[in-house]
Amino acid sequence: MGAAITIDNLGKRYSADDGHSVQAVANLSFRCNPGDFLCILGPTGCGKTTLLRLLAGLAKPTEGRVLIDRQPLEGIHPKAGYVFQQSALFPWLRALGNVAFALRMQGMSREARNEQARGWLDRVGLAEFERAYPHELSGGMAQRVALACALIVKPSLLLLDEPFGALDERTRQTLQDVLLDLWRETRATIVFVTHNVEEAVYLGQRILVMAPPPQKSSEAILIDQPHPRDRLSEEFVASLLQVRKAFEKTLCREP
Amino acid sequence: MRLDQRQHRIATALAFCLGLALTSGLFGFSTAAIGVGELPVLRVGHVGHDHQIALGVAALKGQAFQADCGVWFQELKPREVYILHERETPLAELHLIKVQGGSAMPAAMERGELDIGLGGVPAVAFFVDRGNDFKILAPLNTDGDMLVMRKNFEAAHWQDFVRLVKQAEKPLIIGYKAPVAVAKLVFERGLMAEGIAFGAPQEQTDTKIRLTNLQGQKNMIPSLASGAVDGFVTNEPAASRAEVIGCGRVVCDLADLPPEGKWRNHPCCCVAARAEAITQHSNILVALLKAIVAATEQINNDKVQAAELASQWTKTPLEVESRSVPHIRYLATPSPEWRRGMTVWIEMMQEMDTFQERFADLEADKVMDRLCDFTLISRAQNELKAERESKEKDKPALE
Amino acid sequence: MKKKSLNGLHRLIAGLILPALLLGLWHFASSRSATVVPSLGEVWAVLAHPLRQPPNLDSPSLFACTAISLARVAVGYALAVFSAVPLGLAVGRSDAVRRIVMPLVEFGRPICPIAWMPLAIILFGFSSLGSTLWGDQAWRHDFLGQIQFAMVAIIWWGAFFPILLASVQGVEQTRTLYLEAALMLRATRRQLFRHVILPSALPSILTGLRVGLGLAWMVIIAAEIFPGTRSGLGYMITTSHQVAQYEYAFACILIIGVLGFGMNAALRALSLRVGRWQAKER
Repeated sequence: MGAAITIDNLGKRYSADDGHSVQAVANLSFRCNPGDFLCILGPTGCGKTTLLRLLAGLAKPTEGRVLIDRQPLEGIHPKAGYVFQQSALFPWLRALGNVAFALRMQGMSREARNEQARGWLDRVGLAEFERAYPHELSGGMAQRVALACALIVKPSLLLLDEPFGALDERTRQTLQDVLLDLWRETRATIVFVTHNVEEAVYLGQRILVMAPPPQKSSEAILIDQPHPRDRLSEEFVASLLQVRKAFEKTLCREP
Repeated sequence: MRLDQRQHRIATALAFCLGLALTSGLFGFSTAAIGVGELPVLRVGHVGHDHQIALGVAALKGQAFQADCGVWFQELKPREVYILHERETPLAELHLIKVQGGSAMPAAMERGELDIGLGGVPAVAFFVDRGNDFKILAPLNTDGDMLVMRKNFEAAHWQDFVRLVKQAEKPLIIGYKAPVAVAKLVFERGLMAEGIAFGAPQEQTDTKIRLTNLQGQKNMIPSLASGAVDGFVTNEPAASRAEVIGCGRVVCDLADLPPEGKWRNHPCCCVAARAEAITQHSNILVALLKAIVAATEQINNDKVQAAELASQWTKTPLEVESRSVPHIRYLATPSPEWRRGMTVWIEMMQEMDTFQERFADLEADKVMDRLCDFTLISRAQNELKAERESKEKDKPALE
Repeated sequence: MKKKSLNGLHRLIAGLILPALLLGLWHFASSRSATVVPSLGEVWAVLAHPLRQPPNLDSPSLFACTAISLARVAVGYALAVFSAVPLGLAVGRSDAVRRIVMPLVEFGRPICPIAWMPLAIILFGFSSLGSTLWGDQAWRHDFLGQIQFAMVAIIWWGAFFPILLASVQGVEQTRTLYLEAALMLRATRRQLFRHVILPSALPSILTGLRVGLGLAWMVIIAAEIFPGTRSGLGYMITTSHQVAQYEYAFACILIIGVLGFGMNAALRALSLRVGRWQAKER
């Protein structure tokens, strides 16, 4: 069900107003199999959000290309879902309305889409909050709703941009497990961006450590442990160390 | 069932329009049609104060008025819509439209929204000077400009006033309503004739009188009441109103100012008409003028009744009108006195270079020729005379 | 429960302190200068008989004048809303429209509506809704005959700009985040407008509507000195000045204030209700 991703020499250059330009992403290539959980790890400013937007079709590459299911990506992929860093829930709609939004765009009738939306709210554990406005929800609850919003259309590719970054440790861990459950259920390909090493190791099957250009990003690190992973186990700690080393390397080489 | 926001707004808009329609329906009940669709409609502008009560007197007396001159007004809507009758024949539907004084009247005539205007001679003259095709058909009144001073100013007539002014230590502040108001111009020349120096407030310190522009009639009473001015010069009924309210006292009639007799019968209001109206509706205009002439005679014969009718017509307290009406000279025919008054005024305007175009540098009688058209008023006068003579002749036969 | 009702009472009292003070001041002033400042009693006599034609003022009743002024504002304001909101939305969405429209808007905005009165008179004269529908017989349908186009145009000018600018701003401040989120949720460009831009702009538009209504109400009072007017609160005030019967002017002023207060409160309540999702966005 998930999408296969191929990135070929991808590059993105932004030109600023005063003339000079910034190379956000350079010479990036990797592959992703259907149903993979890929984490992209990197410090702030290394271009991971840009990469995600390129994968979503929200931005166009200046060099190279993106292939989804071996088709070059033109604009927003119809089977992609996106969870933004800041809460992108529409503040004028209640939780139910937010979740049902994508179905409404597709023209589904009110009863049908509300019924499905309720189902998804229940899956993310927020059944009683369907009439709440986003400003009445806590950060964690809002991100859960966001997950429901993205997943209601059964995307084959789910892109998440540091969705749990603003949450406290406890909530973050809960939501990580929620995400893993949903991933198992839907078998979508997930690309998860984070700057938190532990989170990347807990979630990802493969971890791509990114560095700001002109540095080269590392190869994808494989984490071959089954989910759910035990944060205190030896293998976990070993993987953590491995990834952290790669992470530190990119940090040290900062100009 | 929760409506979409947009649908909600559309529903609100529709409800609003419906409400508006219903409300207007409530207020706009049609009065019974009187089958008058074929009568020509003439729009008559007027200012609604007692300089022009000739029209009001004729209108208020209704059918009884025809006993005097054969013409009478049938009321369709009080003070707004009348049918002009000559005996049994309806002649025209008159729409009376109240306009503020000054240039609003001739401006509306220029736009074609009024056929006839009862308004001030100066404004009409200025518009004709600029090239409009109006004619003054007849005067309505002259004089009626007064000097009003604050209550504690002990002057009963002009000489008193002059004496007190010359004795005063501080200059007196006198207000006027507009720079070209006749009242102000006459007052200034009276002061000059008496050798009293006057000027605008900011000028030299040896003036005895400071003249200040109060920007309109409505500011006069508050200015006097608050002490911002010591007095003002204006036309009736504003002068009497100030007296009745209790904030001032009428000192003298500006027509009495020196040089002796020069300012008597200075022009005030007149009946003016567009050239098209004169050519197309001359019969209607003649009938209207007959009514005005007859009404003016009645006013002059019985000033008490005139004041009552004026109070009714202009919705002004009787107290004010009883004082105001006697100060105004009503005349509807271009008598020699009126022509003389007009000549004085025209010469004053030429002195001040007010006429810039057609009337520039023209002698007074040439201006009068171009400005006035007395053929209709002559007809009206002749017809009235003939009617009255025939009534006289008929009388012995009836007895 | 008891505490809540006390708060309500406190608020009411606090709101009435200044008006009570002003009434006292007024009573004091009128007892000293009876000529110009009418007494409370005289003004109350006018207010207490809203349906009566004033015996010594050439004007229709207080009620009729109020109704006419409201009707004029309603027409002019409705025109402003239905022209400014769509135009504002169009300007917000399209750069081309903005470049064509906005220079003219910025030129016209500072021009006070009253300044246009001479031009309005030249353009429209005495014509009104009634005269357009019934020509010379408009006097039989008096209400619509008194909704003069010149006045409606002036009111439209006053209300148009704040509504337009608020609509433009409403569109412009739509966060790109929401637009992108909607795109990711399968919205088409057209759906973006209806489902993201419009709801996001709505609070701003409503604020503009409120400002516009306030301006329209202010403008009508000044605009009713047009020649050919014979009714309306502004007309009554002007006439009352001219004949120095100030109790009518004062009564009108009170009504203008009360109605303005009411209109503003109504729109504010609507704003709050429609924008109740905004609670924490500030």
